[in-house]
Amino acid sequence: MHQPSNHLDPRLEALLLQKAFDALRPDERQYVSQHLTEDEYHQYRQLLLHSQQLFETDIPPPPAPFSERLQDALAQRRSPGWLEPVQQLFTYRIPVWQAGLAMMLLAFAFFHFQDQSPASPIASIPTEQVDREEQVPVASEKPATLGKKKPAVVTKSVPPVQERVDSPLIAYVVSSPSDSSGFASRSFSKDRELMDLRVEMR
Amino acid sequence: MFLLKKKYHQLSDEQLMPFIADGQEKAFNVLYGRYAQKMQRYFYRMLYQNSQLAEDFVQELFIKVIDKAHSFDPEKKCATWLYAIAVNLCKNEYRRNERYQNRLQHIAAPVDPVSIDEQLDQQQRNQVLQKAIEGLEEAHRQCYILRYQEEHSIKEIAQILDCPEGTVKSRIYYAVKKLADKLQYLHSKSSL
Repeated sequence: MHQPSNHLDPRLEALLLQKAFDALRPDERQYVSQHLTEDEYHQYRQLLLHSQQLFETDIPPPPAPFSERLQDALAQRRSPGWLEPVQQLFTYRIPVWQAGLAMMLLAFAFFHFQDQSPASPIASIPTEQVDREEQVPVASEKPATLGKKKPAVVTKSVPPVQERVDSPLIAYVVSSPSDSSGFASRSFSKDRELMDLRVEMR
Repeated sequence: MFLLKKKYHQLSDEQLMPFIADGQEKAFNVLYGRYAQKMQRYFYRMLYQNSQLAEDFVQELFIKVIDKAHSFDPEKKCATWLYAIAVNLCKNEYRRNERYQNRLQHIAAPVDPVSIDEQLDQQQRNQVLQKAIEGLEEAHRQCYILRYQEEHSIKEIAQILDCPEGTVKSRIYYAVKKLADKLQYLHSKSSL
């Protein structure tokens, strides 16, 4: 029985575009008759086919290549040229399995080289063995007396302290263990003694 | 990098949009090549079959694409977005052009059904149908052209027009009904 509808059912639309009423199967004809009369079906079908034919044949001329106005609008949006390859790189897609494989290889390389690395970075600092000889002056014998003596006061003239001057010669004397001159075996803890030594050498 | 430069044409419309937002001319060329003809045809049908006006609107549409590309939502289809812009441009044009509105009212006035028989030549038949389509209400005409000329699905049309699918189905039905009432196709059963 025909029932007025307020919308075009997709199945009905498909039948209208594909089949004439006479070509409908019994079940299709029964379905169509629920929505349209036979005459309406003819009218609608003719209209849709005619519209399709109109839309296919009445085509405007192709549009012109895009205008200077469009080019100007694009130019205003443009960023520096060096950015383009970077953007393209981020849009480049690879298959998931390739990405997974790359991640696994990276993880393997990371853990492999981590195991081989030294435990402490300090051990890798190069070291050098330096021979050093030091003599301590022998203490003078104490007097064999029980009574206390007032220590003699010795007045010593102290030369003015001079500015320390580093020289290659002094450095050599201090560090060389093979020097037999006797100077190198002394311990120099004060700048004043160093100065005296230098004077003696000259 | 050399290989990557050649791949704009392999990108989808949605993937092209960030490059267009950045003003890349090659990316824009690809999108223009894909849609300029379609949009020209759409504007031609919607705007008084004036091919020069349609061409101007195509340029206007792509200016808007460049300006709004940065706000494009990649979750949506680019084609739907383009047609939504086109629909709005047409609406603005109708508002501007009062003369056209008057013309529509004249066409839409009830007239006797036009008989279309096989003795009319193709051009005459097409003119009659074209006038009948122009006489439809704007909303019905939009739906009819988007469905049968641009061949969008009901869902896509609903997204373009930003309305429920039921509304689209209803508009299409009434457009077909009104056109069929206006055009009396005189037929022999053998021609169907």
